[in-house]
Amino acid sequence: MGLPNSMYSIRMNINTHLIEAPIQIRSDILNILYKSNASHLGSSMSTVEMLYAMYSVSDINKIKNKSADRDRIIVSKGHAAAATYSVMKEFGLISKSTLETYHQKGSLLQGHVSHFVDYVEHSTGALGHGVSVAVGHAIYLKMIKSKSRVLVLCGDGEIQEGSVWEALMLAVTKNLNNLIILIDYNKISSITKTEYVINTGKLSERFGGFGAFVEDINGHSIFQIKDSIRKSDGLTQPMVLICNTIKGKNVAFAENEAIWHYKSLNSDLFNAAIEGLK
Amino acid sequence: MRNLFLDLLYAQMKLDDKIFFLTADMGINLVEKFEETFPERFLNVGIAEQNLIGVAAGLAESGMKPYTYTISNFLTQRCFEQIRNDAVLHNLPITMIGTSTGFDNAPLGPTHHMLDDWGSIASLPKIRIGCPFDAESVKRIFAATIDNSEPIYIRIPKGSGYKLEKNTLADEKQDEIIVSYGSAIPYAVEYSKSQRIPIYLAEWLGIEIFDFLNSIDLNGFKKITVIEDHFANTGMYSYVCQWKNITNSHLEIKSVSPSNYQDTVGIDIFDFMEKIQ
Repeated sequence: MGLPNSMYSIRMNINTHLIEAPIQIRSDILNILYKSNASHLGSSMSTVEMLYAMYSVSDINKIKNKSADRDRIIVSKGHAAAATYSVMKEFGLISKSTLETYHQKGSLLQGHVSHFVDYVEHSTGALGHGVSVAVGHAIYLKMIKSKSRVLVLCGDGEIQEGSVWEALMLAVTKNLNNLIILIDYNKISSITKTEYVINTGKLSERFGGFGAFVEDINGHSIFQIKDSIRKSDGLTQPMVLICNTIKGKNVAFAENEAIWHYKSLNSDLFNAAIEGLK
Repeated sequence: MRNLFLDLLYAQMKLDDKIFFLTADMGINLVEKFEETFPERFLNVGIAEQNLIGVAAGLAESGMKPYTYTISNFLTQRCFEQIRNDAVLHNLPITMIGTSTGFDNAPLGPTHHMLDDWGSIASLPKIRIGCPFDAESVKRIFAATIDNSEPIYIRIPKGSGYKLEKNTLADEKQDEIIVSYGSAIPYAVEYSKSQRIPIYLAEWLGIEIFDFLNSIDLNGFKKITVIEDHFANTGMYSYVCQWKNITNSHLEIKSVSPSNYQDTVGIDIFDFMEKIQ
């Protein structure tokens, strides 16, 4: 007994896409960062699969129609803008030509995600804002009896901001099981390793201690992330996914190097990075 | 004035199911009826002002009209970045209700002196700042919040306000007028009466002070005395100076305002009124 040929073919296509899409997205990110001499390569690379999974589980048509009961995606670590916009391109929410204007004079695509760009829920850039805003959206979705979700992407450095915990405590108190916080656990914040700055110990215990349902997963596995997100439907509390990632993922010279939060690509490094994706 | 504002809001919530009331654990014996009557549109976020504004922003982005409530200084300063980025940058219809102004809570110490609240907020673009002075003023300001599409900060002085029968108390020609607002009004009126100087009260602050000044017939006057419950460098005095520059006015401008937080209990709010003498 095996899958019928047609099903097998569909399954293969999906799998192929899950392999190819992140490569295409990383290639787009490298291109727009290089063209505009922009920074934040590290976070852009660590969040590719997380963002892809977040959009994959969401109803894109409702997002396009701006339905009141749409799923919400809030990128709280706004400096992952190049990744966000590149993933949005994959889902038809932003055009290729618009994406190519990233970080250039006159473009709406600035270096931190902006609500002036269609289908972006909220402008961020100052850290620690997204979860509170997401709680507001989640409360609204509960009010209108919607089953849609609010997905928030947070940095592991960002959670040093106290407001994240203010929001989480309220979300737990109000049983907001439609709120899913994905932590980009790349272990590096702005200038150094997070554990050197604020030692949070085991992150899953920290979030679990606040009452969230926590899963510790591979943040570069789209399958795992999507599977975990879907479990939230049966919960009575908000979900936190500790997504273990590598800052600078798949760009060999940038992996786990804090400086790639700031540095921009020259032509040699750009070519090497593109070559490395093949 | 605070109770009246909340009564008006309570009544309006029965008519408008988009209004959502949020408190940062303030308003004992005032906010309970909101929770009882509108349990789905009431939220006590706890002592967490950053979250107060952030959650309100999320609700507003979903089409609700949030009113946030706590003491003026906590409401404006603990969460200044949330007001800037989440409320103002996104131009959301959030009405922030701040209770107490100036030295209303003076004996509680400098953390509770509200001498720099609206000046901070007025540094942001496109946010209206209301400060009522009597019941009618409360009603006008509340009415402005109902169909508003932008953020508004309301600072409500303690007490029932000051009913001014007429703007001019002078019975003879004067060359000076007084402008005032907030908790400084009773002292400004006292000075006005004793010196027989006309007085005008503002209820919208920030750049709307320009409109307020433009609405006064200043012909024949030589001096404006600004009496306020806020630091002058970011308060009304500053806006009157800007207005003077814009309009090429010849008027002399005098400031009566607090210059610092008070370091001991028992100093009367208008000890600084001595400056005027």
